[in-house]
Amino acid sequence: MLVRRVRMTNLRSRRTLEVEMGAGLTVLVGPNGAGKTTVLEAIALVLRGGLLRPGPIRDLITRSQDYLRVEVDLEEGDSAVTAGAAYSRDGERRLTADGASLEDSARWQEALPVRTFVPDDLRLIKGNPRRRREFLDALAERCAPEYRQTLHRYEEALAQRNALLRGARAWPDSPRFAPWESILAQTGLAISGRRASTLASFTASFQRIHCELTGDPPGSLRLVYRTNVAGLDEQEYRIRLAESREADRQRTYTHLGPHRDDLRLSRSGIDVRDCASQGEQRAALLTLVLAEWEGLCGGVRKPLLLLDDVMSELDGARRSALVALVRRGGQAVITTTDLRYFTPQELSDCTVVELEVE
Amino acid sequence: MFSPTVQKLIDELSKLPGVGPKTAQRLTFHLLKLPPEDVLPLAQALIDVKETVRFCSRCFNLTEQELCSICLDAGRDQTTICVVEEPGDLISVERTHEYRGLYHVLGGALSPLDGIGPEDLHLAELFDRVGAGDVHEVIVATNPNMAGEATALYIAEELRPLTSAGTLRVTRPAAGLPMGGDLEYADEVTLGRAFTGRREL
Repeated sequence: MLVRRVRMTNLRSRRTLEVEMGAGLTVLVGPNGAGKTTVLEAIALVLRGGLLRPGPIRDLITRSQDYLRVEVDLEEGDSAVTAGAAYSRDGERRLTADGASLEDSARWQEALPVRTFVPDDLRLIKGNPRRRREFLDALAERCAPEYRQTLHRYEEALAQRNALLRGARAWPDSPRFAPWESILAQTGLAISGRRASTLASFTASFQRIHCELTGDPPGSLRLVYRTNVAGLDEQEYRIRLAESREADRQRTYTHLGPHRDDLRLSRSGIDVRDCASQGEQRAALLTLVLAEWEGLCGGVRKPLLLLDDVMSELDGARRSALVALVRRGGQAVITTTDLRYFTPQELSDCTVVELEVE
Repeated sequence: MFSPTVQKLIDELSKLPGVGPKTAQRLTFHLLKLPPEDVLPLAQALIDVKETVRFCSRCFNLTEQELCSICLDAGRDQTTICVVEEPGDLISVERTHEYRGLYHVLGGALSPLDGIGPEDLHLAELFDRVGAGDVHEVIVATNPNMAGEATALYIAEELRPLTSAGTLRVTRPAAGLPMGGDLEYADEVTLGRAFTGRREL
């Protein structure tokens, strides 16, 4: 599915704006305040139901206006459909497909997955490990559809064991814990094993893209899977859980298991969060986003890639590497303040949309 | 909004499983419209069922006597007990005509989140029956969901001394593919288990 056109009303400084998109790479160029990022926001808002960066949607509505509206014309072969979204300042929301109301944006997320890179949103790198687990889980689910079910089983058994830890009368009765711990050991190891193997196959494209984009030698940035169940077999796992009941009861929380896994990025053995410059952290984020996106491009539903102000992050040779990489995938949009970041050849192969300050 | 009597009926109906406030309200208005001779039999049926039907004192199946018809049937295999969660599950197993042993109805499954522990189910009674009688096999036919699985594991563990001694088998019905179904439409977990539990042809 392709995005053909984006129309928006009352977004930020733009009262109205219409943008025609190319089938491959579209470059949105204009000075600061022209609304380049706003176009990406608008697409994400309709197709993904959320903004590029965290924040209240009402902040996107033009001052002095009560609502915003976005329409995205989509095309799949011969059929076309218009995805719409309208938000009011009071928090009301209306999502539509050719004018008919939709419950949520699931239909678009299914048909046209959107991947984004926003340079100042480093939450995936620096934030809560939960984000990185979700990132890894989405990758794992792609190659093993039953993975999600295993994850749900694990989470349910975990909630049951935590409920036992909280219940005073249950203490210290071993038979009550054993069935849940047995399910936790079985599903926990399945999850941890799947995450490890997923990461092993993801690492190849991650490493390659990192080299292409930074020129650093291979292996200078590593993805490290951190888990506290490494090397355990099912029986050892159960024994460890049984032994930790008293400690867990005091924390009312199960501390052993893949729900506490993390995915670390390390540079020469040091965590990227602790040592790398902002620029290096952004390069790490861009690599993660692109490696995941590249995997998605091999599937049936080609993703849409939105890269906000990515060119200023890279030097000349790397910019061309990025453009070449992006052009190998599906539809993509890059925003930039300066067309000189692109070679004349690259510009002739893509759709350039110039935006001016209104 | 409603008179207290009407509100009371709505409240009572909405306690039923699968009935929300909207449905409860609809049912109430429906009952109000009906002539008394159509409604009173329902009320009487509710009273009768609560006054006469109780749980079998041995297996906790539904019965109108001390023991249920299955426990009273001397022709059934007294050495095998099939453990189910609810009386409805027992009916399902009976419909297969494949099973001729006795039953034990637990009255639910373990779920600490819902505050259901072993003492809230008829587990102690099950272990007493197995320990006291001449039982050779316990078939744990709890639901194949998480609570049912955990309950099955719990039972297996509690009966471990007897199974280790070789006097008792604890089994679980095979998980497999539905008859008349297509492989293509089977979910991954069911299909996976069907493969793990495959048999010689």
